[in-house]
Amino acid sequence: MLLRNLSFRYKLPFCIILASTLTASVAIMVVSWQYYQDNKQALIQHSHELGGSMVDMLSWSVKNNDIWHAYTLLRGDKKNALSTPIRALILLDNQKTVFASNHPNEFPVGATLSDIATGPNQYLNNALKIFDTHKETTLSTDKHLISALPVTSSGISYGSLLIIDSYDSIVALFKKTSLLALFVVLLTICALIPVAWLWGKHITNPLLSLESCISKVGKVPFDEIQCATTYDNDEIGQLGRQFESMVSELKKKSELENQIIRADRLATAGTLAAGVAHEINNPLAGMLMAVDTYKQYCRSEDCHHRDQARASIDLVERGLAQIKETVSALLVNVNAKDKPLTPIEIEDVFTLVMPKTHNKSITFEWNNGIHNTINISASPVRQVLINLLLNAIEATAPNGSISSHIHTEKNTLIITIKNDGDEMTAEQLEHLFEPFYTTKQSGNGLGLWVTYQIVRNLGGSISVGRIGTWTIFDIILPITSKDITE
Amino acid sequence: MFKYLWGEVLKGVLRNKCANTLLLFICLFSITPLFASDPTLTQKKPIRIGITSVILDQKQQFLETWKAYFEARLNQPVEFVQRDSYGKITSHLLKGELDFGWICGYPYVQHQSLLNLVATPLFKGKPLYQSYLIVAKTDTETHSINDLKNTVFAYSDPDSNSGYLYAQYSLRKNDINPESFFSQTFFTWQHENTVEAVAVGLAKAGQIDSYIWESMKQQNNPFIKKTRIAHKSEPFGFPPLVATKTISPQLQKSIQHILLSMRNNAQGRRLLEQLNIDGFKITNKELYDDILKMHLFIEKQKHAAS
Repeated sequence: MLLRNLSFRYKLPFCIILASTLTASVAIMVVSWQYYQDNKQALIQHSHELGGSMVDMLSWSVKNNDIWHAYTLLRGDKKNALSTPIRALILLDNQKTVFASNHPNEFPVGATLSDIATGPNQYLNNALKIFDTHKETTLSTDKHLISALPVTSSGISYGSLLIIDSYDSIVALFKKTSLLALFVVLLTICALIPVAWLWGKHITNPLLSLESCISKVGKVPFDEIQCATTYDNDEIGQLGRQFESMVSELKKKSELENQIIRADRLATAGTLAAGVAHEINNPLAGMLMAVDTYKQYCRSEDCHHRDQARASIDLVERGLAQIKETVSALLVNVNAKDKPLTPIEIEDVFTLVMPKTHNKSITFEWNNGIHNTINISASPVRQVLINLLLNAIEATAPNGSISSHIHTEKNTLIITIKNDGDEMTAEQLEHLFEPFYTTKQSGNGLGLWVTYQIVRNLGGSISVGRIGTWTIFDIILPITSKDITE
Repeated sequence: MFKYLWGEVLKGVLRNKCANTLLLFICLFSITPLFASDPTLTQKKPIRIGITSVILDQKQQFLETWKAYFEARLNQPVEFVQRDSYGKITSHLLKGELDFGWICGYPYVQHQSLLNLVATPLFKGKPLYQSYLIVAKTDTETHSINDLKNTVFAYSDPDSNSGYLYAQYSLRKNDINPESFFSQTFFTWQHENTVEAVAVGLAKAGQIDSYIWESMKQQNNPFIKKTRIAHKSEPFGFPPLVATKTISPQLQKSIQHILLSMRNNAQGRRLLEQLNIDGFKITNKELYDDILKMHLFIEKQKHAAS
């Protein structure tokens, strides 16, 4: 479980070392075991060869009752005399008594086999079983290998030679070999560690780089996602290229969305144009009347009714101002620039939308709680507001009501748009923010989708609900700490 | 180098005192053409010296030095003849196949009518040595050969006084038959081997030459450390260098002179030191009367028994 959560940076070298260690361990065990078996076989063979080479001489020793001669044969090198022999050699005569041995203190001259098969030498009782076979015999006990060779010459039996090997020597050799192998393996693994470490780094570096790139998705604009790593042709390289391809596609999609949002903004401007035209037309009629009035009072350069003329001019001025204000509100909407949101711009929205409500005699409750500039991009907020208000107007029956509340709370801008139109069905709610989904004959189905994309791009949230007779859209947008260039 | 030679020679001597002594004396007589400037040296008949094989097997370098020493003084080549027991050396002497031999007092007294005493080494200033009864150091109960009934006993050589005759005599004078007294007996053929046999437990006890035992002890021999002396005999005449009756009195005198004068020159003293003896002395046959008496006693008993 711990390994699952571990980075490949560590997991890969660890697995390499682990696999190497396991492989080496198994190899050591197999080789060592084979070595042990081979040694055991070699020991048996050597015992028989040694015994066979001594039989004639030992026969002579027994025949001539020359204990010393037999002893020197069994002892071998004089330097061995005072050390405990690894291999016990016991020459027994036909009475099963020790004629000579290479370890006289343990197997004294004249002792019977039964005499010496006591204490730690109890295993020698087994030798009694093979003693009378008169042929080369080998018996293996837990810790000893006992070989019995008949000592004969010219067909006459002079006794038997017992050769006792302790497995201790083979086990010691086995341990020594295993330890040596283990030591070599450990050294190799020690040498392998930096290699595995570097390899792990080589494998995981592109992965980490890719992960770093992927983590930027959704946090920074696609343009800023740059994976500098060059990719190989392996799976990681392919993954990197696929990712870059995906980022490229996402970038195109994002651009397309932006284009749609831009188009939507222009379309909105068109939608608003009729109301705006009306707003312009109204003052124009008043202004024309004012001009007529002015003409009546000031036919010549001499104006007899200066006050009335002046009032007419004032009327024209107010009408132009109103036109200017309306056109400005519309131009702002068309020429979107990234700048902070001001209270006036929110009021512009009211100016632009308000005429549409007149057509349906809708009661429009407008509550702008923004009194200062807010550090949030103005253009998208305006677009959201306009879209939602136009949507509310569309959804509201004649003589109905809509309401708009805008205020800040902590570090968020909260927009609440309500209308008392018909309640949306579950299917409508489900597909509400999907593109090209519309219940209207004239709509293109992009308005709410664009609204949703803008809110998402601004890092905010949009929700729709129904309270009483009101359909309510709630938008919460974070106020960024990032400077927005004006 | 000197120390090495000393040690090596001493070890060889220890193996078989009589044979060693013979060998070394024979060396003294030898002159070979190896180191001689006189080209006629090679044409002369070599002096044949009987020794035991063990010495020559391991002490070749020392013997070469001795050969050179004697050949330079005798102007005659020397040839060593090595055999593995006193008996064979004695046999060769009696057959005239050897001119000189270093043998034990026991074969000497048996064949003294056929052999001349040339010189006797001085051990601790005297031409005497003893027979030691040795047992394992862990054996604290044995104090005489009589305590060794039904045990395994190691003799050194059937032609050795200290390693065989004295043990036989010690038992027989108490009316004990050595053949049945011990459970097992065997010969080791060299005194040094007897020490090993006792040290490793092959034999419960053994009888050996005091000169060998003391020299081994001086050498810190590992086997000696495992043994102790249970009993020491009275002194006997040290194994002599003997000559056959057939050699010329002039040659015998020359050899005697060289041996006796060894103490007077540096090279001779160095060789004596390596042998762990003090020098040589001319002795008479009465020195070996005690050995002769023991031999005669045993022969008489054997004869009576048969």
